[in-house]
Amino acid sequence: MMLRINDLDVTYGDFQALFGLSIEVNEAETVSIIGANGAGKSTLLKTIAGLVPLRRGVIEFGGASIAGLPAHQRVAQGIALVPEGRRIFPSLSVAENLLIGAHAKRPGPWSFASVLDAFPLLDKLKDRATTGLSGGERQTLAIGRALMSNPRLLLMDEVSLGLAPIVVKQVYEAMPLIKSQGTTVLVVEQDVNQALAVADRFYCMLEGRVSLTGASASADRDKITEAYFGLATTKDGHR
Amino acid sequence: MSWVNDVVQGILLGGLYALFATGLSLAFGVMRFVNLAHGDLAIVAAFLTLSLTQKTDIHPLLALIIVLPGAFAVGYVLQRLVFDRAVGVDPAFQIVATFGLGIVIQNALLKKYTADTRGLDLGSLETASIKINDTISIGWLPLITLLSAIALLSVLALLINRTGLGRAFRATSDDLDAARLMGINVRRVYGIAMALAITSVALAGVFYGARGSFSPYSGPENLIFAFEAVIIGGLGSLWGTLAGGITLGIAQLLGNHIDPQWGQLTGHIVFLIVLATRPTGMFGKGDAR
Repeated sequence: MMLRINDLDVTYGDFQALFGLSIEVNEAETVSIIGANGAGKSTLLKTIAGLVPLRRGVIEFGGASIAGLPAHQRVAQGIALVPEGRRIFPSLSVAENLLIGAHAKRPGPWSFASVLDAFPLLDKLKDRATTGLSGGERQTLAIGRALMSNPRLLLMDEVSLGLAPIVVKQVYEAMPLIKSQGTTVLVVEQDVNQALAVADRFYCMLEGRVSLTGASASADRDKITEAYFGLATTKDGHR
Repeated sequence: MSWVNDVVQGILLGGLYALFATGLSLAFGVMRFVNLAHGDLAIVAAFLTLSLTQKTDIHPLLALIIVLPGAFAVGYVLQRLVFDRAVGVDPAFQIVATFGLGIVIQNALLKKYTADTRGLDLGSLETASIKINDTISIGWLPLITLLSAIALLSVLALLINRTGLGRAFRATSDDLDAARLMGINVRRVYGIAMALAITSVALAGVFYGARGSFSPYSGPENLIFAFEAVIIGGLGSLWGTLAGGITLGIAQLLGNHIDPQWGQLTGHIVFLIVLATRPTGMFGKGDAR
């Protein structure tokens, strides 16, 4: 198993964001996490990446606990996060933003040349400053930058947020190539259709807990709607 | 023509101020850290050089071979063990921690070296000069100081703009969490930035000690000049520190020309005018933060 999270609690001060959350992701699988705003999806990815400390629970990567590792060492182990809001470095050019992605110097299929090959858009932009890049260009750059670390597990947060549907389609066009390298992908999406289209399995989160999980192909839309908005749970209380 | 000489000497003096200011600018640029013990650490370097020259009879500039790597190590350790705890939290912690360190340094120096003023003996280099004409002559020591400042800034600019480490500096400065996501050990980056900052201010301290006299209490005065050079040049702009240092040097010497009592005051006034009219400085990016 690539990633195993068991009974995870995460708090920000007095506010608890995740409640006994458990998910599992197998090698070379693509899994999506769907849920409304504030469900804890981004917190989960940040906790896996090491930006947010966990209060209780288990995070295992490749069979070993990574709960105590600082973020930069998780990158060295093969975890890369495409963060919400892209977080492109404004002082760095497009090319430098890609190069800094390889800071951990992990060997693998991705290099400056192969990323530019896979994303012709970035090849065209590489000598430019990042100011004035469009949302889609920034998102593509953020994905390319994360691939530069040759991750075994690629975490993608809110890829389609703020992008026009046609641009979302373009950004997701790289997914088959990423998967073909054997990379395991965990993607957070607010757009349910997009999430089900891209992933083998899905988890739906509601208020810091998993409210539904299953295979994307056999997903029941009504059940997802209930799990997404918590319609069923409000009737008979939580759980 | 003596006015011209003042400008020339002001430019040369600006080289020394730039050396003092560079480390301050670097530490602020990379980690938004203000080290109030910056000037005191320069004086430590001057005293250590004094001890080295007295014990071994080597030339003070040769002693730099030992003092500068030592300063690099001290800067790194200081950052990892002390300053790190004050980065990214309420700036009051930085001020209290580094101000306190400054006082500790001053008192430690006082205990070891007494309150006497000292000077580093550079021998004939102290008075040697190039005579341009009857009123203008350029001293070798101030010239070497200015050239060292230019060399230091050139090396730092290359490091920051052209190397992987420099990329990590800029990325860390831009967005701390995103830098960590790139696999950058930001604590190490901070350590190296402070190591470079202390190395540069140690160089400044040795030139300062050779130029005139110093005592355990000379640090804060130099900190003021370094701050003024950084603000005039533009916060976080590396070459701005040279422009700021030179502006300050010229202002002080022109003021001095009018009345010897006016020297430092004129420098402070120019600083205040810049702060009031262009707070981002000459080379600031318009975002003073």
